[in-house]
Formats: sequence, structure tokens, C-alpha cells
Amino acid sequence: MNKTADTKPTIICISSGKGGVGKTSFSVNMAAALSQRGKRVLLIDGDLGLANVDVVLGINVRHNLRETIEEGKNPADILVEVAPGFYVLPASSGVPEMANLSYEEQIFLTNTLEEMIGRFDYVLIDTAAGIGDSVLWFNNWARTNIVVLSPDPTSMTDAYALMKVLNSRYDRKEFHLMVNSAQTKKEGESVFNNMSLVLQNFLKITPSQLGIMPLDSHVAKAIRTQKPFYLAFPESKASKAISQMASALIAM
Amino acid sequence: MTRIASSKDSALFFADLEQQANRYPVRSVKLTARDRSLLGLFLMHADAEATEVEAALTRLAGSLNGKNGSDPASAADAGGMPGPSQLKKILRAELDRVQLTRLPCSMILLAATNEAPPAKITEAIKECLHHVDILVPRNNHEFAAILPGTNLGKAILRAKTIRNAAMAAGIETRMGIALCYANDRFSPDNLLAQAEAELARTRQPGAEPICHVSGIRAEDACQVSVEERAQLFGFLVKDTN
Repeated sequence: MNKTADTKPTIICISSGKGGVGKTSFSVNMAAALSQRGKRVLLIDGDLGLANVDVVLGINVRHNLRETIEEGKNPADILVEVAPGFYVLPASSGVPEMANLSYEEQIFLTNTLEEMIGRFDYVLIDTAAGIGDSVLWFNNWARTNIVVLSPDPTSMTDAYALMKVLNSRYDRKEFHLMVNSAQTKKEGESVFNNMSLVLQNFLKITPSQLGIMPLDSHVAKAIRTQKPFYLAFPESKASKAISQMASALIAM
Repeated sequence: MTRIASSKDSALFFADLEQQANRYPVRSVKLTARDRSLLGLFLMHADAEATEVEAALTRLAGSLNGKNGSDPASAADAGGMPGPSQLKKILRAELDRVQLTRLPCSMILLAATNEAPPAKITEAIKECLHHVDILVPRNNHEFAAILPGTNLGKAILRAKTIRNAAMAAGIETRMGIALCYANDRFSPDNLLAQAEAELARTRQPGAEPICHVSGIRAEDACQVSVEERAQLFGFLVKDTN
């Protein structure tokens, strides 16, 4: 698909509050699904100090966003094309300074990124866990906010806390929830409905359901083989769920 | 509004500032030396009157003639720093920016308690200021440090750093810290009143030399309450039963 230079990409931020709920796996597979639909997709590893996107994809990267922030390297020069139309901007791992960017660095990073994202249809940001400055900054920069949560109470609390902060401090009102690791569709629906109720009762906001990802052994298998399950196991339940969610995102 | 970036800043920072200037209601003038090397950017609020702009540029030219470059703090005594009368205008522009970026803005009101000359104070604390911070004198012994994008925790740390730097130069200081989030919809007077109240608290007997507004305010309390938790997990209990 040809992307005209004057249209803006859809910037989507993927967060969860809690770590280990499947943000990176979801981001990588969603990027793969969107690119397979002919979209030009940029996946930014927003976990700037403990990056994992390159690990999940099994790619070896020589350059990363640290060089953009510390040395002014053009992010276009560190882009990695993973598959046709699917690009990754990798970040660094084991660099505490990158996890705590200053205000000036955050502004510099997003301004620099804005200069190069015009060529993409979708920009996905896989953020770090927590509610640190960079997480909030990326969420505020994005147009669409996806919150990943699981049926685990700690995940629900952290996802709610993240949305509460984004709502009260950044006036964010639209959240798309993705319930991961649901044992059954009913369980996924219960988690979504309950979260929706609490958000309406306390924050007066109504989230939308992006989708429910069932527990699927192919997900763990794909992570171990460092391949997106959407590409490695296209017929798996998880891949079908990602496929539906990609269609929903495009339809938004 | 005037803001002067120092010559020691990197070209990247200027490029970034220039980009930012394009997004906000400001006009920017690139300042270059005779050898065309970049000295800094001069940013003016778009609604600044011509006479104000002229006066600020004259002051700036005066300070640059004396030095190759100028930084926000040391420019104070050279006439390049915004004057006390401009504080509210600068605050208004920064508070507008809080609404645009949804990022907080803190302000430290700093008062020197011994008779240190303003130039000595600015010299002592200039290294503690970031590129985007704005230092404005209020009178001979008081300064307002505006810290864009800075939350309360970071502002407190900055205040401690400033106090230590001042102390190392033999200057005793007291500071009041105010904070504004977008939802507060503060006016410059609100923010100033808040900082003044905190500064006044430092003067009470036995008070800490740095006082700040409460980090937990009803309208901005993000902590998940017991009631919220109860509802979040309520359905899990039902399912178990």
C-alpha cells in the first residue's frame, strides 16, 4: 500500500501497568498482522531501558534509540525491517538512564520520531511496565491507547491505576482493552465487563473491548523460538484473535 | 516572553527548541555570532508587543556584546534575564503549555536569607537549572525558578540541589514549591500564591527550609481506593462462590 506523505499515521500506545501480561507479544503480533494486511507498520520498543521487542522477534540489532537520544542519530538509520512493511525501532537493554528520560529528552525523542513516522500507516509503541514518566509520555503522545490486562487481580489493579492516572492527569477518556490469557471466552468477557463497570462508576469513562486473547500454548512456543506466533502458527487460536483485533483496529 | 538559551547548548537542543517553537504561540529568532556559529534562540510570545520585543532584544544585545554567550542564570546581571515585571507573562505562557502538553509545571520561589547580591546567587545556582528552566528575579533576594515538565518529586530534588549549591557559595536560602497540573487550570496568580504560601511556611519557627504543596490533592489523587479495589475484584469472589 502506498502511503501518502501528507497523511498522519495512527499512533497506538500499548501499555498494561503490570509487567508480564503480554504487551510485547501482543505488539509484535499485531504489527505482523497489520503489515500482512498491506499496512506499513512501525513498532517502537518503548521499554527504553529494558527492551525486548528484538528478543521476541529474534533479531540482532546493532543500533538502538539510545543513540538517537544520546548522540542525535537519525532514527531512520536504526530502523530494522523485520518483514515487508513491518519495521522496528529497537531500544537498549540494561541502561537505567534510558528508563528515566528527562523532560527535554522526551520532547526531543517524540519530535525526532514525528519527523520520520509520516511514511507509516501505523505506529505501535510497546511501552515499559509501570506508570513511569516515559510510559505516560508515550501514552499522551499516542492517539489510541490500548491497555492489556489479564484475569489476574494484580494485572486488573495496575491496568485500572494506569487508566486512572491517564484520565486524571492527561484527560484521556478512550481506552481499548485487550484481555489476555483468558481461560475461556466467558472469563475474558467477565474481566472486561467488570473493568468497564469500575471505570464507569469511578472515572465516568466507557472503554471499548478490542478483543480477548485465549490462553494458547502456541504463544509460549513462539516466544521460545523467537518468532511471532501470528507468522509461526497462523492457525492457532491466538493468531485468529490477533487477526480479529487487527481488523477492528483498521476499522476504527 | 523571552527565553535565552546558552551558547554551550548543543545544536540538537536548538533544533528541538525550534521545533517546539513552531507548535506554540511564540516567535523565534535564531541568534548567530559573526562567524555564523549558533549562539541560541530568542523566543517571544506571539502576542508580545513590538516595544517589548525591541526592549528585550536591546537587553540581549547588551549582554551578548559583553560575552560570547549567555546562559539563563548568569544573564540576569547582564540584563538578559526576564525582569520581575515579566514573571506573570512567562507563567501564563508556561501554564498555557501545561494545557497543551498535559505535563505538570513546578515553580520554586527562592529567597536568600542573607545579604547575597543577586549576581552571586544566580552564579551559584545556574548549574542546577536545566535548559528549559526559566529563572526570573522578583527582587534583590528572591527568584522564581519555573520548571516546565517537572513533577513535585523532581522539583523537591531540584530545590535541594539548588539549596546545596547556594550553601556551598555561602548563601542561605529558603524555598517554597508550587505545582500545577493541567486539571488544576491555574492562573499565574494561583501558582504564585501557592508558592508564596509555601515560602511563608518556611519562615515559621522550626520550619524546614524547603516547603512544598501537598503531593496528594483531592482533584488529582490517582491512588486506587479501597472502594475501587473492592469493585475490581468483586466479580472474582462471585465466580469462586
